[in-house]
Amino acid sequence: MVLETLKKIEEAVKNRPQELAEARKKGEKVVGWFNYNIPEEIIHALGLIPVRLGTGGNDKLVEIGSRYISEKNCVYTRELVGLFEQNKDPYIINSDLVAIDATCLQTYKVGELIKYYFKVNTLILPIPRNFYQPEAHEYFEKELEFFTQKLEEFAGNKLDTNKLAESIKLYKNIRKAVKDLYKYQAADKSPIKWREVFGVVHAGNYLDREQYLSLLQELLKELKEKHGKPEIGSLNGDVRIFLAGSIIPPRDTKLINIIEEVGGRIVGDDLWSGLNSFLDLNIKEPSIKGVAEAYINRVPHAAQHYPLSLETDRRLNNMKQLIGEFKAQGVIYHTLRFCDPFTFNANETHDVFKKEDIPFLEIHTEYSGSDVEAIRTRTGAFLELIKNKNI
Amino acid sequence: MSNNGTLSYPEELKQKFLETEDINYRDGTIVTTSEIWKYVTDVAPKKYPYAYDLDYNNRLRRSEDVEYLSGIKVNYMTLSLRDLLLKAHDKGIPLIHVIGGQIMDAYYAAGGIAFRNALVSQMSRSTQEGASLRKIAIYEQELLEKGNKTFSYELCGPALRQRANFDGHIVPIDLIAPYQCMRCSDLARMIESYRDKFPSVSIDVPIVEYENKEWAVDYLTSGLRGLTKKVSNLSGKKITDKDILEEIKLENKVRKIAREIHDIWWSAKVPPTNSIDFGEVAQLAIDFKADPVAALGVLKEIKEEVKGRVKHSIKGKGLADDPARLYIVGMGAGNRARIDKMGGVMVGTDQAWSPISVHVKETGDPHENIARATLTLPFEQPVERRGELEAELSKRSRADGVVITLAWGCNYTSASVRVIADIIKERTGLPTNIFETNPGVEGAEQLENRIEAFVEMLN
Repeated sequence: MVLETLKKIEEAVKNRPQELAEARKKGEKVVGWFNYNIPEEIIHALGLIPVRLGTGGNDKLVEIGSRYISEKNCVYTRELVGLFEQNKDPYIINSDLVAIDATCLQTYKVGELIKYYFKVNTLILPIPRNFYQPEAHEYFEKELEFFTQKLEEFAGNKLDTNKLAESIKLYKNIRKAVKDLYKYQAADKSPIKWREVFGVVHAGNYLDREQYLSLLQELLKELKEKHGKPEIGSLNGDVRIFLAGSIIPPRDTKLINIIEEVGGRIVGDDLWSGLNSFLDLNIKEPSIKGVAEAYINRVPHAAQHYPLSLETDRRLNNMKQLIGEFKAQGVIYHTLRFCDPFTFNANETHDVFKKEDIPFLEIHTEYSGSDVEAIRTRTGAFLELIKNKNI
Repeated sequence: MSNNGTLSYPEELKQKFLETEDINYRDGTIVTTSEIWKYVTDVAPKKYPYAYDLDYNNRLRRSEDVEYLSGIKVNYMTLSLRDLLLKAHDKGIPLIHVIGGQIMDAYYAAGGIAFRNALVSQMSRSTQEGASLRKIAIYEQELLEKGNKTFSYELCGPALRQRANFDGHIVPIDLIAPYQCMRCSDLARMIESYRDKFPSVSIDVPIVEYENKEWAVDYLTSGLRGLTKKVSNLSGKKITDKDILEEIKLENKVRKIAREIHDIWWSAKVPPTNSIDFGEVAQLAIDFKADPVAALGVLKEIKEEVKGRVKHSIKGKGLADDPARLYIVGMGAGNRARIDKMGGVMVGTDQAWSPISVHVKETGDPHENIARATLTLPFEQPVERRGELEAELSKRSRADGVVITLAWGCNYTSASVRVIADIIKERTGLPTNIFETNPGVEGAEQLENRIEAFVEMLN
């Protein structure tokens, strides 16, 4: 079954670079951003066009990036540098300013490199590492005020509370729609796959946000008409996989392909390039304080370390909750080489899920194809194990 | 067995050494020169033979410049560290693990002893009494392997080894409380991994991309208040602002004298000490070998001795004539004695210079003062600012070339080295070279061959 709205989304993404170029000709400004905690609501409310940057899976770009950042940095960061060096990505070309938050420190360092080497106009948003402390909340609010001032100077206008309220509402609706979409992909006999939903999430990196919401709602309507209410009842013999760990950006399909080729069905994720960006982000008031509080209270990235009790670790609890919600039968924990935030946590995360009796497989990889067969063998064996467990 | 003999202190030096100052420790203990001499000539060679092994592959070897008398005291402080720390620990003084390169005023003011990775390693290997260099190398490799198994081989070696040291209760630890600063991206996760196992405090040092961010100072100040409160609870020492200001004054004196020694050393026509002894100046001023009072006393003697050597154009033992001057950026360039043997000399390292380069204000709110100073640490600055500071320092130290090193697993350094190298080249015209270092105690042949080639090129 082909969903008509997916075709529309694909078409909209195809046209987007041209739209951005034209918007810029008319004097509009584009703010590209990368990392995890840039509040798009503020960019949008200032009349700027937000675009989330970054792709993966391209070894050539990784190699080009390695001329500027070490091979001991993860492939995602190296590819990001390569993208800026090449300056061919339509979203990079069309970015008048690049905003970077310091959540993942390696990714933050990319911001320093592109500023120095490629003279990119950058704006940094520091992130407190002790995000669980009240003082960190105060600090982050001030940082966000400063960040907003810089954006205001760039936009040439002041942040208006009413416009911010409208943007907050828009993004709230986008988040709700994406969460609803995830319910469909996990449902019995779903007409939409996780891979397609993941693609829709990435389309949201680029599209005009009003248009994006409208397309999401249209897609949900189409799904409802064709499928009814999403329900997960019988598991139909699928091996339902939850995909977690390091970033899987647009165009990095290596692991996804393998999981599907060996018969796995991905039914959920907690990727920072996937569902996590849409979770637990409740802005209670249209102000900098309201936005800051919401962002600092969202599901933390693994780079935001949490030294308090394991039981109250929201990253892990979020994973557990999603696994339950999507009725996943096993976790594939994807770690990129030299992605310390996720690699460091892998054994601990494994132990947590072992206690829950949830099978867990860590796949440690990068973009090159040299380990594809090894990953295929391991993933295939893992799926067999889950199948046998469930007989 | 060494391929280059064993370090020994000739008996004819003894009388001259006995006429120098005793070491006065913070708790009132005085170690006489006679006791020091006995320790370094009789006790330590038996307990720690690896430190006396003059093999050029030995990163742990002490300096062969036996006539540099204050260096003997530095050796004493290094080799007797475990005894000092265990004695303090028995008295209820909390031992606190911190990160290298940060300033330590708050920890000591609150009654604790702050020790960074290098001191943890020193304390750990001191448990291996009588071990040869080979045995120590294997011992440290085993610790690293334990850490690798617990986490991943891609992570920073020193952090992994420390984890194994603490897990195995090889080194007693009361608190893990490092600065979460720009220099390290692994330590935050290491702290996370300690949860439910060891008490910890994370002091978040914010990134300051722009000047005058008072809220960053406030945030760090509050973190430092939390730290001194926690340490004070552990130590049982009630502290006032006045106490902290007193500690700041003491540690400022240490930092100042270390800077003065650097300036004297840099101004010399011939390098007055070899690379090992020069490196120890900054090391002593960073972590005080766990006692700032003792460190200050020894640094005063070092200053006078270095001045005397400069005046009489005495060259450090082991150095070539007119050696190539290497300024080291990053995590260190391996075996310093090997650099000297290759015809070079180390004229400074930025990670050691960073904490001694700051002066903490001595009046007003001490926590705020420490916060302000911390936010100016050169090593922790955004990369372009840091690159400018490196360029300035390589000129000031009259370097002929700059070696930029990155430790395996350090993603922070690895992401910065290329930019720093390019900024230094642009600003100074000096040749630079980037090397990856290996965390073992025995020489990494590949690294040292590359340094040798670089030195040859400079010469």
